[in-house]
Amino acid sequence: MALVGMVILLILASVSILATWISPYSPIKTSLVEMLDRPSTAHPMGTDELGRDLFTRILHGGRVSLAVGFLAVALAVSIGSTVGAVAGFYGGWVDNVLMRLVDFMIALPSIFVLILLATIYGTNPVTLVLVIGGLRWMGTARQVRGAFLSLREREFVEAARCLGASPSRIILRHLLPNAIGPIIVASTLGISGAILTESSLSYLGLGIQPPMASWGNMLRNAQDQMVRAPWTAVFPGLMIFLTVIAVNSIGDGLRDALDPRKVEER
Amino acid sequence: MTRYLARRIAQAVPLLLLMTLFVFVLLRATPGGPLSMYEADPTVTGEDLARLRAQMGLDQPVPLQYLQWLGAMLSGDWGWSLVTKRPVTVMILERLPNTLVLMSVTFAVTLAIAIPIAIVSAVRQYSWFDHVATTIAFAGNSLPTFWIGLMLIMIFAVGLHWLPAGGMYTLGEPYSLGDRLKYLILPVTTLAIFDATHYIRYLRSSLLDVIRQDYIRVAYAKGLDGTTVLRRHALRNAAIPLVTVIAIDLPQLFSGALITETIFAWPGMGRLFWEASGRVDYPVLMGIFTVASTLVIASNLLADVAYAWLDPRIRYR
Repeated sequence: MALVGMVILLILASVSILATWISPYSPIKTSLVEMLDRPSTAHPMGTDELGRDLFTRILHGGRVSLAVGFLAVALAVSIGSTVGAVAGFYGGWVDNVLMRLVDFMIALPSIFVLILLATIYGTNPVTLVLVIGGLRWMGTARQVRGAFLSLREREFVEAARCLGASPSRIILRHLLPNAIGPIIVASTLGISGAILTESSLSYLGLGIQPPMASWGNMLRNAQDQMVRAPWTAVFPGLMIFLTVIAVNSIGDGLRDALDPRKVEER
Repeated sequence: MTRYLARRIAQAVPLLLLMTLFVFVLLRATPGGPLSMYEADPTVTGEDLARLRAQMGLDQPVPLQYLQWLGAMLSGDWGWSLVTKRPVTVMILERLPNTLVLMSVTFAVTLAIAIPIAIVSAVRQYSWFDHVATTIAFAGNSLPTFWIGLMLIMIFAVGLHWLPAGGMYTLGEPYSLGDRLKYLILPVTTLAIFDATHYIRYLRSSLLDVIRQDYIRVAYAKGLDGTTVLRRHALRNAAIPLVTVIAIDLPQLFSGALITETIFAWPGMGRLFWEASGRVDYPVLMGIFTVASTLVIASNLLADVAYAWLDPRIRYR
């Protein structure tokens, strides 16, 4: 399953990156004579309400959706690991303050904050990455902290300390590599969440703005054409579904492989 | 139990205050601020703007503004919408029940679907039922909510004309429960598909963990039948992590509800928030955010109580 997911994701990523070379059409240029054409050999997924080739827009939209998803998670995992590592390693009041911050962030109704931030700071791919990443790091922080709390009591950490290793060296060389399993699993599963968040925001009109294509904002336009041109609503959604299910199966596979508690279940 | 509860409530209040402060500062930091609407209007002079700023207290430092807002809020004055010029409390009270109806019906339907499926799936692990259920749950968990909604509208409203595509009741018709239910089916299905698949996965794996425990074997060994073991020993313990997940998920439920309300033109709080954000209607945004945060914190409290009820170890600590 995980392998199938990996292959699907690689295919999706490469066709998105190579979009300009794969499709002869422009994702933005409109064509009045080809409005809402049914899927055909010239346009395998049909055209949208402005006569743009849907397949081309899906490829270009994939670029945006995948890039925003991956980068947002990269940001979230960096913040989460740092916060979790510092809290778990130092403990005491540092831990207390950081974990209350995590509690606070988790309790925030994030969709409202997302909408506010998107309204206030505008909507381009970069701010979208910052906003989504900035609101999705708490799970990683908790996990890393938990792993650190038990790891720091182990003998090899004590040994490193006796040898005079600095806190940063202990964290980076001894603790983090041992806690990497849950981080990898959380970040993989985080990618699908981030992609879903991006597409939801774009669907609400608060994410990627037209004419730039993203799977979410394509669905926003499709809602008005659904009666005459169902394909405009079906294909972008299928792409989100395919991507998310691919990422999720990779994540599940990684969890089974990396979590020792799961071994006995198989 | 009372002391435990009192401590949880004492922790919840500062959290709520912090959350409102956070959003208050966020809104004040907006370029243009609450007056951006008037600034764009050429008939409003600089003098008028200064007067409005003083009138609304915007010339004062932000901490002071927050305290004033908090005081007014506590005494029931939630301000007036900048767009509709109606009291925020009235606007929210019109919408809140609709959101609560949508969310609670969804929640009930979700649990009614998820719990039996998860139990059968876990008890008969690796049966054909388990395989089908886990596959569907896995796929359903990867579907974007709004796309489920769009597809349901396309099939059942536009294609088959069985159900209405949006709204809450048929205009001009007298109130009837059947009519209301008809409008609930699609939005509730949309939300329940996503939530149920999530809970099935969770409850199944937590049941599988519990079933392997020694005390379950003991229960069987002393001659209890399968149903009793499941009901008295396995389910009760498997429910503990589920309660936490449900509580943690509640903010996510809001997000699902907001998107679903937008798709189905459901006149709820989420849709109101979305509309207000487009018009930068500060008092409304602030009011809805406060209500939503209160609901989230209250439900977390409720989860803590349920948690303590299910697991005596927590109660007596």
